[in-house]
Amino acid sequence: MNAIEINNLSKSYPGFELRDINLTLPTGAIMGLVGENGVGKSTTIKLIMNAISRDSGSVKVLGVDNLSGEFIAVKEDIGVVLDEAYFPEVLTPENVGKVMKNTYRNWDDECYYNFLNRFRLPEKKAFKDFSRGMKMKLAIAVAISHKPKLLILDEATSGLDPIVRDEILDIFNDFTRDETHSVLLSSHIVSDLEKICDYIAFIHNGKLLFCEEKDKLLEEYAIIKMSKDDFEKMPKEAVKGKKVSKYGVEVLVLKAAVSNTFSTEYTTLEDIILFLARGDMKQ
Amino acid sequence: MKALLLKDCYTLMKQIKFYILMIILFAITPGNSISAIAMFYAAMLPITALAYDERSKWNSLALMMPYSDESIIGSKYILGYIAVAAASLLSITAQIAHSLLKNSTLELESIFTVILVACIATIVQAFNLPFMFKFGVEKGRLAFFVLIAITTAMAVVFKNGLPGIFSSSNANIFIVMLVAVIFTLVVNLISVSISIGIYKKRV
Repeated sequence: MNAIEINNLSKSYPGFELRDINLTLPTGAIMGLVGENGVGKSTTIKLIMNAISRDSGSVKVLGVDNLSGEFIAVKEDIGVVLDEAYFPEVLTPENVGKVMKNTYRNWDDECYYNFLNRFRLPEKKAFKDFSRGMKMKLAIAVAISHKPKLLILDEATSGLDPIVRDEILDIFNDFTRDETHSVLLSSHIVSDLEKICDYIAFIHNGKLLFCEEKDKLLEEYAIIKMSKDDFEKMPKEAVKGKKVSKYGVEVLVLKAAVSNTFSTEYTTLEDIILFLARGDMKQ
Repeated sequence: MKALLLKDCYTLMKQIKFYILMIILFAITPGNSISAIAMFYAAMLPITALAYDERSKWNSLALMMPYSDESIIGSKYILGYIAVAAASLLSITAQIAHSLLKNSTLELESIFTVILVACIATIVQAFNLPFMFKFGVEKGRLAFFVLIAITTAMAVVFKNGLPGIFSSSNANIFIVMLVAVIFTLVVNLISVSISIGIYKKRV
């Protein structure tokens, strides 16, 4: 069973469109949803959770259509962390724990308080007095303490310092040690996604450009630096993006489509996404 | 739904202790007009809770959790009913205590007036909440003021009729109360279904 299956999902607002998204997150995997700000990552997550209406398409989460009445029960198995924590500001972590105990059937108080200790979060301090890092840690503690099978994280690491980010990414990694657990993580910090993701889905201009295994992407693409004359000899079908400067051309190519005469360089996920997003760049 | 009520109680108890104290004081003050203020204040508590939800963007998170649309909407109505019922009970208890202390007879009419005012308070809440769910608290408040103006105008028009209701026989009083309670229930049921319909049509 797949953790998430999205078929031909579309949604439009004035000045914004998400078109025909097809995406599958296999159980046990971590998928990174990447794209620029405002491209539709959060909208996709809201559509997955049926928090907004769609124009067309279908979404199945943990094997259940998210428009069916059963989906409320499925939400018991989903932990969600949004870009902000959104708890009422006067509540303390202790209050939040009591509210969540009455929200989730599988709520585990011991797990929750262990996370509060691990994150050094004061139990009786009002949420409004927390730093952003502390707020996000509280949201993560809540998302994990009801024994979910699927974690959905919308920009959960944005705006956090690298040490906190690393700590949080470790928690997500630990979570997927159980092969029935899956994670969908949206972020525009590609280095975070490169660290932990098995799959990468890239949304650009309202369309899903690709949804691929990360290792396969890194194997498929390469960067070549060359002169403008050499670039002219390059097969055009191999070129997926280029950066032209007065010193030459830097090209993102499909490795399989270029001959061995070109010496390729190792490329990072960030390079691939940058080249694909910006297409032809001039410096 | 218990979780949502608990969340609202924590928020309200911490944010508006003084407001809640005023409701209690008004409710136990002798005189129906003062206790009526307590009940109308109590019926406005769900709007205050909604305003705090909007400020913290709680709804974005609530939609990700296993709360049904019915329980999200229903919890706000129930919060109002509990608050109005508590204010009414306090008011009736205070009236009984007052008559015992003064060694006077408790008039049935004043108990019925409390119940009738409680019905009107929940009707006001029933008119109010769909506007709040549709337009948000800021714009919804405007609708509330329009509603208050209409209610006041109606009170002025019918001011000579109301005391007459209770001046007749007991049988007449019971019929009036029965009609009032049934009308309140119908208005609230319609209001809840409108609010749920509004909430389901989210963007």
